Amino acid sequence: MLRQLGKRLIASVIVLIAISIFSFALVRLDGADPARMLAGELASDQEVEDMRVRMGLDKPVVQQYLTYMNNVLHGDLGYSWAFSMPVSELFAIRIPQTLRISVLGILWACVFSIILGVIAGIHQGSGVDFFAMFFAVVGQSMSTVWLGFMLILIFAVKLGWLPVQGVQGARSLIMPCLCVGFGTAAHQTRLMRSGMVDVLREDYVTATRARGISRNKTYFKYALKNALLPIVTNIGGQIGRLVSGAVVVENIFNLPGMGQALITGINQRDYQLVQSFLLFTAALLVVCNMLADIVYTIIDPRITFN
Amino acid sequence: MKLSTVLRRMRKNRLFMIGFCLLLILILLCSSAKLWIHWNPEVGSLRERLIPPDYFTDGLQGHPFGTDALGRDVLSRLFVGGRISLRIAVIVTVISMALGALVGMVSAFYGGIIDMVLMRICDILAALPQMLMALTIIAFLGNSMGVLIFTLTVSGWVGTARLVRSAVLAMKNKEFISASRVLGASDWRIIWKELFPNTLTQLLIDASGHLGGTILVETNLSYLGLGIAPPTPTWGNMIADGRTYLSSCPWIVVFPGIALALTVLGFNFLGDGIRDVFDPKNTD
Amino acid sequence: MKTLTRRDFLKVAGLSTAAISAMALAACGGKGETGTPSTSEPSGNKPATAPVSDGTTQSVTMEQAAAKEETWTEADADKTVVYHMGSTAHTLQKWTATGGDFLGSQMYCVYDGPIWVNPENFEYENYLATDYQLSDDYLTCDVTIRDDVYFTNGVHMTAHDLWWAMENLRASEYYPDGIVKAWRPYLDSIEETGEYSIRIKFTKPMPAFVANFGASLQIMPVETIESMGWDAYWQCPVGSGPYTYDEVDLTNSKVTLKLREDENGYWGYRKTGYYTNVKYLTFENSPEETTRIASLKTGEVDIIDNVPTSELGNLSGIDSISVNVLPSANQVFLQLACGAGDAFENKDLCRALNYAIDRELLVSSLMDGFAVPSTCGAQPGYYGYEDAPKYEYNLDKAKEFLQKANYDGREFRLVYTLSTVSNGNEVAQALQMMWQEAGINVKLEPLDVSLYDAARDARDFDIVLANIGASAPYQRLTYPEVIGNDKFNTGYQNEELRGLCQELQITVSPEKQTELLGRIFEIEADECQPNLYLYAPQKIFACQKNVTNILNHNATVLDCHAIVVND
Repeated sequence: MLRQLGKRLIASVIVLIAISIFSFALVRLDGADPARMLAGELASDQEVEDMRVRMGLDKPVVQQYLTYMNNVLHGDLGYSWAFSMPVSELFAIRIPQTLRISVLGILWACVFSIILGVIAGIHQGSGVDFFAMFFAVVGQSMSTVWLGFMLILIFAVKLGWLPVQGVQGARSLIMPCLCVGFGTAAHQTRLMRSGMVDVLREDYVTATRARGISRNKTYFKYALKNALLPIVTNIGGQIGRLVSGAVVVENIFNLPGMGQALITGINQRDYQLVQSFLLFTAALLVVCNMLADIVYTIIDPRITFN
Repeated sequence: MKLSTVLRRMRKNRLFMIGFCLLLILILLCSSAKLWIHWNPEVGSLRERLIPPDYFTDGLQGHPFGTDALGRDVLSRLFVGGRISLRIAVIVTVISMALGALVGMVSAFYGGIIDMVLMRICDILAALPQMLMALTIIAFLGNSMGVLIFTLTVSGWVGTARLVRSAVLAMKNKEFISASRVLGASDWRIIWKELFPNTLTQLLIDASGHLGGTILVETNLSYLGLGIAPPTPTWGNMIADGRTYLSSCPWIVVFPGIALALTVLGFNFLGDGIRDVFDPKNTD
Repeated sequence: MKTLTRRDFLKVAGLSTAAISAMALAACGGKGETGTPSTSEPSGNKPATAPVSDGTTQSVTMEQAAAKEETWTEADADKTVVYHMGSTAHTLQKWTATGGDFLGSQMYCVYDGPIWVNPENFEYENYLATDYQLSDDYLTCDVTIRDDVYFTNGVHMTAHDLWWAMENLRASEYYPDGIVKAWRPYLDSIEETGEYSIRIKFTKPMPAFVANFGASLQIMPVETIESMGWDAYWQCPVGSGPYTYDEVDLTNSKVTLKLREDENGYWGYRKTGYYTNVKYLTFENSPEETTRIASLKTGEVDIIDNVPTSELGNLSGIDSISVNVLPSANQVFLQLACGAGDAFENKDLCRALNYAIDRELLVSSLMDGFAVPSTCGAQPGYYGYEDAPKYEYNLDKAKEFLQKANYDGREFRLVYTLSTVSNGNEVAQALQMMWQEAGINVKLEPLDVSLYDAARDARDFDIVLANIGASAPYQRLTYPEVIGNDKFNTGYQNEELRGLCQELQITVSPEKQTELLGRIFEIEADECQPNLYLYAPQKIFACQKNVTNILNHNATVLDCHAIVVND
């Protein structure tokens, strides 16, 4: 398994390098001049030139790239002109906020979907099962934007139970987390339920029961583990969806996280912020996928690593 | 599976029929929109802005779904916009599916270096969430319809490719392939005649999910200001425009939201229905 | 174990579609009656709620306060006020901050200027200065400041501090040229002529001198800056105003000011008779308008700015909230590419465009009446405004000019960005619709702000929707700079216009300015090049009714230094 892990690692590094080149090239595509942007409308040509030198934009592109990558490997993610601080510092400040809603979002999605899916799978045809299907189907059809707006309309504006924006304690996290995790929760409920249903049909379950093992033990010790497998593999993909969701949700609820920072960076052609963020996200996804694979292997030793 | 079996199952499967009918109605209404709508979807009258819906009390002459901030009739915009949103979704899905299927099949069939290279490319494109990629590309390349379609396609075909690849890998060593080979069939013939039809089911299910997903991504992009430019309506556009009026004139946001939800729902039902219809365990 | 039957699937399907629709319609229907103030009217036009200006600008003097207590000092203050704004700032240095009002409101709280605009009669008056004298040729100014002013850290203010502020504007490594463009080209030398007086020598007459000689100069204690070092100092700058910086979180654009507690107290309260009972003043950014309004309604926030007119219906019925209008400090206008070979070189085409715009309708519908339709590039009260020829809305004339210009139906590109005109989408689309009626085809191109700037630089547009103002009263910039120097590269070719505007750059006397502007307005109204002025939006701010005495100096930033919160 270690050898395969190694191979996987090398592949991941190649992917990350490719992403870094891609994002590096992308942000320079439109030819807009961030030096002028930052110097301001009223700046003279000389000042724009000075600004350009300060930003390191006068060197050839390849050299800029190599300098950037070298810095990244030493922990220096560049300097954000939009926020007047090193990118790594900006990340350190902003990412916790995004993580908070993303992690809470995933957590509630997982817990909710597992519980609902399992009960629905066990009690097929019951009211709970019906609700689970309903939730799964509706949840996956919702647009995050629309969901966010409806939540604000109902809970904040009309009922006044929750604060509309910002970060005032736990209450202001409820709606954003709900939004972020909704799609994932719906998707996973469905997976969990059908996984459970399939597993419960398997012969080994009947056999286990026939041997006299209690119903609960059967379900939770044997069936559940197998039903969880699709969820684990799926999580990797969900993380990507969560990051995208965070960008939109942060905008709707005015949370000072990385999503907002990215939008600001894009608007102001803050090269280094956008590059580093894309690289960071890619790295995050790669790591999460690898972890998911490892967990998968642990849960089911029959599955080899590839 | 025989065609008659398929059709019979489709008719009997409630999920499939609901999804199918829902979509049929929507698509018919949207594509024929320009024929029966009463108001111009792109040009309104400022004096008629923000009129609340009258729910068909005046028929199509009035404003059944109200007007938006520029006096344009929401109903007209809804269906014309639907046409555009659906068109984008269909184009993106068709191209992604075709590309993904091709890559998946070639990759699985030939294996070796080709497989490795193609899969690495897939990994790279999949390393970034679709929306982030779309966001950055559109922000730096401008937001025309072409760029939008290109961006959504580029990030969308990877899932299909992987799906098709694993399906084909499973089939690769089956007997009917070996039989074809023995009979001297060329590679392409095998791919096209044997492998492809068997992946069709998977592709159809994937496509329905893809269609719904693309519409949702387009909505998100429009909300961030990166969708199709005004005055052309799309559902995402309409929701984004209505944001300022969310609490005072919610109909601007609510109706496109409902249409959006119903459409994606329809696609999901369709996908589920197809899965049911082609399920080998289906004893109907 | 029951299996899920087809019937159940049907139920699921039916219910889900019904539920989504129901939920959405419920949200919508529930709002029906509160949507607009008068939903019974068939017309969609919301009646503009009359701007209310109740009690917030009444001054509460110390005499009145003293009537309640013996003597008032800063130690008596105990309230907290939270102000949420649409703008952001990532630095406390006004001269390097990029746009927005965030820092602007803090200027009055933390710093003082030699001159200020009296909030009660909008006249220029001495504040820090006891006297200032401009020579007849407008090339010299002698300024004397008070001798009883102490910075919040105890340092006594002298002419050296004022000299230092002015000297940095003149020439300094800290303030790059582009940022202090309003001052640098005009300052020749500054010298201290006494313990409390300086003499400023100008290179040429500076028309905007008096308007800019206020709190935004940022007069600070030089000895503190020198002992702390530039960068360290800016973590917590010091002024002579009533407030000091208490908590600064620039990543999230959140700043809290605390009323000064030093033994000297704020000299300004003793001079004007204003006072405050607000100990902590927090300025925070909240970019979403709906969010700001909701926060105000729940009481989490005391003051909000940039209230969109569409939300006024929401706020008007509430007793505890007051809504106020600020004078306009910027103007939204169109620029046409009219150089040789450009789309709008032909003046008839420009005239056609102009006559097709119904400015009144634009203002009454999109801005709910909270804007002043423009007649020229200035606002009421400015030189020559009353006699300026007015724009006319006339669709027939527009079509006539279109014919004269031999318009072939080609599509023009209108470029705009939401960063400068926040309701740009609506304005641009409304204009597009109006031009459509006259038969002119226009394509909209919303751009990102950097792409927008680049397009203007390269004259890569036919029409540009732009916004001017904010940094200085816009009329001072529009003619001398924007047109005089063709700052935004429209390529216009009228040399007489150019000459007149360039002369304005060095004209200080009001009479001469009126004369020049008179002629300029005539040319503009006739040729409709290079600018077509649309409207001057008024800003609206809202606050809790018990937050009183928010001052205004005929500018769009609020002066929060003398707020009195009633219980």
